[in-house]
Amino acid sequence: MNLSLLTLELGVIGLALALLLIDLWTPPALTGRLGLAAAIGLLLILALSWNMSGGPPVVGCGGMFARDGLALFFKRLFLAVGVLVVLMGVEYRERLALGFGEFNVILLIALAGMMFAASANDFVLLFVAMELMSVSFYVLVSFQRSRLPSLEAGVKYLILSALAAAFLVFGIALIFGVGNTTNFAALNAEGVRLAQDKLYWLGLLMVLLGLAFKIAAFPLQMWAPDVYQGAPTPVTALLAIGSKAAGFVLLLRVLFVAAPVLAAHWSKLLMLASAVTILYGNLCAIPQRNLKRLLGYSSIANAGYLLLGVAAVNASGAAAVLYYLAGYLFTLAAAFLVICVVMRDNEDIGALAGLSRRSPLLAGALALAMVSLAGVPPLAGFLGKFLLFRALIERGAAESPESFRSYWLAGVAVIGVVISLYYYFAVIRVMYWAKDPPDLSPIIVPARVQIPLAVCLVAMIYLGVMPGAVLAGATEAVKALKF
Amino acid sequence: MEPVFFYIFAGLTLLCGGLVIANPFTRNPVTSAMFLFLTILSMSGLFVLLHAFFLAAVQVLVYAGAVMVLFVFVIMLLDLKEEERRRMKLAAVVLGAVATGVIALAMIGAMRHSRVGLGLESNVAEGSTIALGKNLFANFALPFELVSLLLLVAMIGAVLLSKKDLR
Amino acid sequence: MKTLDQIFVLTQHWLTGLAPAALQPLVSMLLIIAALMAVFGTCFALTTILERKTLGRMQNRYGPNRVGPFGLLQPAADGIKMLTKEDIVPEAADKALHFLAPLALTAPVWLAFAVLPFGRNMSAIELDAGILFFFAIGSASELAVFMAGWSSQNKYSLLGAMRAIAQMISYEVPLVLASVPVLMAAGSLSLPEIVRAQSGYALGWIPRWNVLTPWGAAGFGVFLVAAAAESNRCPFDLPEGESELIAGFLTEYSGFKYALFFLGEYLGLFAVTGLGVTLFLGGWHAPASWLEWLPSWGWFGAKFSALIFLFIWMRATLPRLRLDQLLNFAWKFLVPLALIDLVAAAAWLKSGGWQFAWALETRWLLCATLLAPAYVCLGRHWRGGTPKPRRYHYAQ
Repeated sequence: MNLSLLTLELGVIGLALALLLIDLWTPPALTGRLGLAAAIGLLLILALSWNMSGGPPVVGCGGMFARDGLALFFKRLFLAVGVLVVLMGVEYRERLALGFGEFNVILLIALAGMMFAASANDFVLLFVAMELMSVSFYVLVSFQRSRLPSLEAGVKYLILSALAAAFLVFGIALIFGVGNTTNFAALNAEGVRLAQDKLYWLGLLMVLLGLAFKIAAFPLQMWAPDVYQGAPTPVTALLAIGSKAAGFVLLLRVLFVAAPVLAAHWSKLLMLASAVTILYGNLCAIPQRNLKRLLGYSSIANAGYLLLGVAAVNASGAAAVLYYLAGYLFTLAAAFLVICVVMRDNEDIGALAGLSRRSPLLAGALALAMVSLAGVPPLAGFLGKFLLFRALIERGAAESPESFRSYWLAGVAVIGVVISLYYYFAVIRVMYWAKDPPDLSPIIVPARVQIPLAVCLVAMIYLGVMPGAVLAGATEAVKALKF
Repeated sequence: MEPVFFYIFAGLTLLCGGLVIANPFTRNPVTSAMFLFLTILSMSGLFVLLHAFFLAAVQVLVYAGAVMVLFVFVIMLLDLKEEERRRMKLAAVVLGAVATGVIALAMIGAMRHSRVGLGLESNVAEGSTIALGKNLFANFALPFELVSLLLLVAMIGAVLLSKKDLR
Repeated sequence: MKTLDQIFVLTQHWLTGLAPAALQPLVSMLLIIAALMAVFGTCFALTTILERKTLGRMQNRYGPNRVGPFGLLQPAADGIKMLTKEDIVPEAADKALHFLAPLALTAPVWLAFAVLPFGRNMSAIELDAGILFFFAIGSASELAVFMAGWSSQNKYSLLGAMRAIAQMISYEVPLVLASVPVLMAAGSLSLPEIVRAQSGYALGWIPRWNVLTPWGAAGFGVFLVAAAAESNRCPFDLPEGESELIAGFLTEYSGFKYALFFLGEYLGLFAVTGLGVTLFLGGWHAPASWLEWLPSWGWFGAKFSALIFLFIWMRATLPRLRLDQLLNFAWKFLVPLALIDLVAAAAWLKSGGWQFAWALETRWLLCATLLAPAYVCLGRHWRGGTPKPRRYHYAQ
């Protein structure tokens, strides 16, 4: 086993174990510092990841673990999420009521699971990485065990995740039964022979079902709103960004590394799932009054948009997915940071009334995040959607002229975007134009929130205005995939 | 002889598995647990037929010995009267039957044209403990080690979520 | 001497040869099963009388001495009494489970004897994963205890079963962990293979039994304690604590079913003792080369009897533990010690190739420095100063 391949992951795991031990001897008053230390550690590992870029793709650890551009792109993404979420956790500390040290540890281990997922080149590693994430999230979601919604969310997540894992493992078993291997590269080498076997199709379909749970896409999207609402806010953020991104990198790897032969056949299926997901998420988000629940439905809708890029089955689609996820990261992180600070016990949208006067910075940040999510230029969300749609149109142009499937789907997605404008702007309206807000006391924003918030805002605008560098990186990264 | 045993064990597995989730005679969770135990035993019988003695023993040791006992422990701690009074809901039965039917049909349809098992003969020897161990510690070392991390998380989580007094 | 050593094997072959060829595998199996049942059935009867006699002597009284010469026919009298007693099933009991529980306890234990090597060439089946098979079988008894406790619909039964299961799953961990170093040393999961690995003599006269290595001694200690707890022997017999729980999960059993439970418990003890002999005491190997002319099964029997006697002695000597002490002892002392023992065994095996003078002594020192401080520290930590009175969360 070549350990130098695993430097970043080992770093995160080592950080987690060190925190677990240090926490033993840390007085409760200082645990906040421990959170900051974790964030700094993650930042260092993030910096280290630039040292690792370049070089040809390497596959190691018995062909399980791939280090290529795609893996590195996603690992940076996860590390960035990690920093933001750990800082969010520091802000959220008092509300956790128990074991803040362990909270950080489990969070970091979930992060390590995601990073392993980004490099998975074998169904066994895929499954173990997924379970590492899932088990961590079972604990994290129900962390506020004295709060009933948190426990309810935990149980819901546990049961549905177990169902998804059952599908996943059954699918892997079928694939192994037919292909006699679980390695992505080996399966791809046998691709043409395996594609004739319907049992292989069934196995892969079940794997996709298992992944659909992680990204909260139709038909396994039901859990998202309840769990997002009940979980502690930093955990919701990690679920919404990290878990989803991990699901997508696995989806890309399974479809375009293990089974590129079948991926083209399944474009139709993915398009259907995408259309239903977009419509379901956007339509159900309209009546929501709870902001986290609304973001849960919005996350379903966004999974739908991201699926557009996968359904396009081309390099520009996959690159658009990567770009969109990067933008989505900073947008959602900004939103959840604001939620973390403002919504202490009331998560109703009404609680935002008068935020523009209580703290212009927070109101501005949340407004910008909502605008970006709605896809208004010149922010990251707009460009991401634009790239996804463009990839889909490209796909439509490449197909036979009679087939208007891609155009239909693009139409559905545009309708979804129009619907979403309504509920995103409802949030902004409450912040700026609410009639007689009940509470106008100013909110003091600590520096540990101001700095990440500023980073998120700058990144959101930067990605929207100057997408060149990140898009180039994404295009480079998807060269690991075969279309 | 072996096909006969296969059908006996497979039949038992399916029958007992069915009785775990939908027992028409009683809604008693203990009965379900006992049938789950039988399911696990018959499954380990299937492993024995594949000459995978290690897996058969581990199946019984882990699932029957550890997991089932924990189930049973929880059952003992709970008040089961309410659970027993709950009737089977028609909608749930129908939905479950439909879902099972769809998956079964898909499986049968896929199996009919599949050539499963071709080239699997070479793996029979891996039922032996040594081959399994070598595979686990050489080719699959990374996931194997990761599982230890998973267990650590599960342990921390279990302690955190169930500890009586928290500081 | 060869003939005497192999006499049971030869007899079995001869008897099998008498049967028609088609039936030979079946007859061979039946013969082994019959022999095992006869030997350990007798063992059970003898142990009950031996136990009562020994306990009596140790407590300054005679013990049973009325039935037959020296009271030797007492087991027969007990058996007849048990068989003729009325079988009472509580009205509220879950009839099927109540009936099945004693069977579920006794039947699997018989299977465990199948993998034990009682002498040279004397194991019923040579399984590749024999020891795992043994532990897998052992885990069935927990379910049987649950069935007994739960189906009786009696709170004492239920409490007893809960205690018993908590105890069994806790002590199964050190039991298995203590056996792992032996597997590492032998490089096999098969019990005959483990015995073979303990043949020969170090320095020409010390038998290569695992118990005579530092890690083996520590492992044997952990194993013995865990084995006593696994088979609900005193001082770990609080699932049946008469003074507080009447008879635990046995409360609602009478007559033959009660006898079956007893049979099951004793057989479980025999099985785990046999495993201990196999894993740590060199199985059927003689302790010195000039004693090798004695038959191998005789040596197994001698070691086996000595261990059984040790268990009886322990019962007479030690007072019963409290439940929280019991569980703490398993998790906070035995499990960590077994884990450190694993490390010590690894060090011992890794240093097996050392060739320099005093190599053996250095290895001893190395392993002892790993184990001894751990033993002392864990013991101190576990005792944790003056014992505090137990808080009963639900009773007060």
